[in-house]
Amino acid sequence: MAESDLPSLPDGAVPATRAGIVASVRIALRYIGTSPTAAIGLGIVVFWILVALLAPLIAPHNPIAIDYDALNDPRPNARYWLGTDQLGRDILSRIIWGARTVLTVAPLAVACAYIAGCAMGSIAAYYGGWIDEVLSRLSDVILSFPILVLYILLITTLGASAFNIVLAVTVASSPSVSRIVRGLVLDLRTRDYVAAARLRGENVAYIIIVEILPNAAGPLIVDSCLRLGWTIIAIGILGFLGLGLPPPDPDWGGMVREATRVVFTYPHTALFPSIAISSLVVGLNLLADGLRELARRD
Amino acid sequence: MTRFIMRRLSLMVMTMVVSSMIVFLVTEATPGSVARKLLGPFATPEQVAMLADRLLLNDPIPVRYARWLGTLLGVIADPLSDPVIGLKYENPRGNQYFGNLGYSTLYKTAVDDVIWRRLLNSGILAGLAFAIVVPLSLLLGIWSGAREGAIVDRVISLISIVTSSIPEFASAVFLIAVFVVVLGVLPGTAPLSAAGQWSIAQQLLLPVFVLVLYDFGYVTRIVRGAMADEMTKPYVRTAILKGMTFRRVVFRHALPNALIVPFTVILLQIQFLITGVVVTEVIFAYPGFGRMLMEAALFGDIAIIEAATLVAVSIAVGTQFIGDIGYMLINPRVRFA
Repeated sequence: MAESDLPSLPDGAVPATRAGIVASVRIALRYIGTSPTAAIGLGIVVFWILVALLAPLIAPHNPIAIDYDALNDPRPNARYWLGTDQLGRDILSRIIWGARTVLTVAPLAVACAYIAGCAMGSIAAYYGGWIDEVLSRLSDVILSFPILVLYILLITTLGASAFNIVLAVTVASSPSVSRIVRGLVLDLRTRDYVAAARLRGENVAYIIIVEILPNAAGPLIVDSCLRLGWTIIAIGILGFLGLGLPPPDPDWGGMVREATRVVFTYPHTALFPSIAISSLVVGLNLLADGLRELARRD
Repeated sequence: MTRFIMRRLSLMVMTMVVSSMIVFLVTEATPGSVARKLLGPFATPEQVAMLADRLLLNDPIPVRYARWLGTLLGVIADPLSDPVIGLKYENPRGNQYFGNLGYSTLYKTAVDDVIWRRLLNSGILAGLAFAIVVPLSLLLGIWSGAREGAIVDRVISLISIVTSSIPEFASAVFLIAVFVVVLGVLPGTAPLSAAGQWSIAQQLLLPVFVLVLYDFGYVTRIVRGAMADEMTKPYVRTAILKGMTFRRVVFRHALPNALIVPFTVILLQIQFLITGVVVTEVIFAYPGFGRMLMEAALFGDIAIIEAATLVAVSIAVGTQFIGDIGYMLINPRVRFA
């Protein structure tokens, strides 16, 4: 495709009216549509977002209702398309409602980690000296902990709830965001355009936010989508280890945990929730890859 | 250089002190007392209170932290070795020496007797996985990054995206279902004892496979991304236009610059593989470091958690030290502060 065919992204010029929002969404979609990888990834992610939003409308059964008759044969059938679990609950409905949980908790946690991590990392690298020392040592203390054990310590201490999972991910994840940002900024701050901005007399916040971070955006976009994927996996692992959201509310990792006792007889009980987690993470990773490709093409 | 190393060592000690304090504070708030867990659900509250008293769990945190630190430094004898407690605590190394990690209430033995064996076990698992992951991801990452957009790049990217998106617990459950239940050619647990019908090599196969499957895709993608980025730089174009062979452009020009970011990521994998492999170790009942740390965290075994923290911090600081030196060697724009 020729350069001129690519729609250019407006620099916040579109007014925040209804028509303006529709126009910018359309431009963004056409932009993403030029990369098949990003489009497929976005499609998968949007699919799960729609599933989560429409859960009450599309779930065929109550996700926590127990059907004792289904226990005789929990395999997929006409009534329960994906079968029932070890308690006779509909797996499809539990996956649909589980999408809500994961798509609320994970993005919130990653956003919090990013705000904290970007601030820490860029300040540390830009100023250097003792500020860098203090912030980097603080990150080291947290990063030197095996990340899952940090989750386990925090969750067993604070109790298993959505808020505490967000808190734990923020604490555990922001130092590694900070370390990545620090590395990028360390590299970028030696560039001429940063020296030029400094000579122009720009203040530090301007230099970091306007001159440095946009040039680090490529790797950070990739990292944020990857990190969202890891967070979804981490929440799944917490559920699998029995530290996720309290039952009976459906949570994908917890479903796999419950299925491990019957998995050898009825593999579908573990298969479908595993596919749900994996597909959402694949979608995010494809989106990350595609966006990265697009950013490089411009 | 000596100054740099000395500074790093003092920073490591500082990190250890701070993180050991944080651990004390965090575990303090853990619900359920160690005394209750030791005695089980049928003990009377009086019995629990008595044991808690003997284990000196009722003292304020600063006092307990000071006692732990004193024991570690060999200033005081381990208070739990007092025969009055009746835990039959016997440490062949003595009760007062420098580096005394104390007594594990969970494993009912000296921490020294547990932690090093566990660390070695995890080291074996990590070493095997690392030895496969690094060459594999470097090969695939360089190959696909150098030929961005080609069929080979699409295929490698897709495979690495999908494998790194499958959580360890999901892939482990299915590998067990296939190789253990259906085919019956491999054991489903890896307790590392050669007594049963399976050799240790057979026991290690599935856990290593699960780790490699989960980890290689991520490293491959990082290498590929850095490589692809480097291949679009003007100097690479110049080298190609100069008429150099593609192989020489990739390996002599682009590769050294492309390895700056992956270098740090690869080093982080060492830390992850040794101390962070909780799920795989739990599923395969592998007697490793991560599983020990998780069990200790759930039990509230402060001696193990503290000792493991010290070990984890040394590994993290060690890899970071290597990382900084390497970073400086391959990127001349970064100098010692």
